[in-house]
Amino acid sequence: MTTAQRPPLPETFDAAAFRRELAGLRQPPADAGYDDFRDRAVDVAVCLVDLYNDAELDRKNVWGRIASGLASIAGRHLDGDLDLLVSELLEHVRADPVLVGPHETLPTLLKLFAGRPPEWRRGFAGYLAKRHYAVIGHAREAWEQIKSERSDARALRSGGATSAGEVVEVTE
Amino acid sequence: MTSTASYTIHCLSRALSPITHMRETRGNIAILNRADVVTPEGVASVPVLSGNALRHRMLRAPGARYLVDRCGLEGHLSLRQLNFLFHGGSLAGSTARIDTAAAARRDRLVPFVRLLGGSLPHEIVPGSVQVGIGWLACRETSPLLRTRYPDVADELRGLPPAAGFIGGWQHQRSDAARGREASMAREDAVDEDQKLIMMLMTGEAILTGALIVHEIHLSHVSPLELGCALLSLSLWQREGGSVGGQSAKGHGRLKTSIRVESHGANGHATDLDAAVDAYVQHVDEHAHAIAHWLEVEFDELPAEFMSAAGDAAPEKLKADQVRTAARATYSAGDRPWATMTESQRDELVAGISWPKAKPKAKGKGNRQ
Repeated sequence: MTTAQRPPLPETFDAAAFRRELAGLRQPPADAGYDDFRDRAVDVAVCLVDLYNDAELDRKNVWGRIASGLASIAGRHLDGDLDLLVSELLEHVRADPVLVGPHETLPTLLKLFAGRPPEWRRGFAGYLAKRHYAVIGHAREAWEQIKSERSDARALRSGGATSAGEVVEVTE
Repeated sequence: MTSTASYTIHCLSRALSPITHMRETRGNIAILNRADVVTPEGVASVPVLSGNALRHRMLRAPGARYLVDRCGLEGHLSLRQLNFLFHGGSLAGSTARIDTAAAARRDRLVPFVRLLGGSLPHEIVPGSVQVGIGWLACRETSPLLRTRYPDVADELRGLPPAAGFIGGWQHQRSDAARGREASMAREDAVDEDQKLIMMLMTGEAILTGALIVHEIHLSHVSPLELGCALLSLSLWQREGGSVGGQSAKGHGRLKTSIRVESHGANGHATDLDAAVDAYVQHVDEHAHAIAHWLEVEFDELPAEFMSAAGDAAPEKLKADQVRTAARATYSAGDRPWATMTESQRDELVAGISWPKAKPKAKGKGNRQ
């Protein structure tokens, strides 16, 4: 290689070129937050518990099955395809399709995901894949709360004891 | 004495394909290498390219490859020599040799060695280059980058968070038993006990289009060493500028632009092209001497020369005396045996200065 044959030096940059490079990076929409991964992950896990098919799977293993689903399935969808990710998770817990549509949270959650920017969706898939143990921990607490609220609602509706120990009598 | 100066090569690297510089795997998911960064909102973990990986890919490997090519070393190097050139080498023993005059000659002859350092068999050579971590330009690293680059501080505000630059990849290794090629197998090729080798591999990647900011510091280097560093960078870019893993599958391509900042009053590298040209010319002019230095430094004396020396040695000399004398004569030269003409080889062997065989000592024990 002579001096004439050597490769050219890499391009040089100045402050203006640096600014242009930075400007090329995508800006997040103003309303897109990145701190709510945990809350949304808990929402997903709670939907999975709620739609867990007891008829086909052992109820005692519900959290173990959800954890294994999060670990293996979320890792395959780091591209941010959350519709597919959630679908595979539902399949993993053998959710009944008849119950999925009218579920009180899931459709809203999917709509929320669809409105989020791609970088958020990718980040969320990564969060589920890497922090599935923590997600289970948070979700279990949230699920207990939901169960308690549902029990209270039933008691108020049909009579019985609420979680606060209050006995409700329903009179016709 | 050659004047030296210090420089910082600022690098902006745009990812032209997913960057998969990994730290570990969890299950079958490869996880990106990360570093914790203190931000105003707390400690955050962001993907980084290690300085070690950047140093190897951008400087050492292309620089070593260039020497091998230009000095005609291919096919003539031992593993120890290759390890030194491409990976920094290792000390052969516990005793270090200190020969400042020889070190000065080596530094002048092989700028690559003084630039990158390494372990010769009996000497650790400190390098002159410090390669910084490759930082992803993102919200979490913004405060750090703003202190380094105040002239673009405004643009560094409002960057998306690191999570926005992390995506995924998935590769599948197929199995011949499951593909159309299965029909090409012998009829008895089916082995029921054989496990399928089909495997799904997934992992994280820094997204294509992300920006990595990094620096290379050259501390008190000669113009030739600056030229060596810049030529290595140029060769690395020409070969695709790859870092991290999965490069065989198209990952890890960087498009890098640079800004060279000279420090101190002795900064002399304003003409970068001239520095590179000087290095190219230096290597071409000293190719034989560099190859010879590698032979001598690693005690890889050519077998053909040693055989000729053995034939020419006086009969009474012991093998180690023959080797010592042959080595001294060979070391004093400046070109490798492989490049010599027949007459030059004969002249070299004839010029070996043989020691006189010592007469046997006459001690008391020898008296009868």
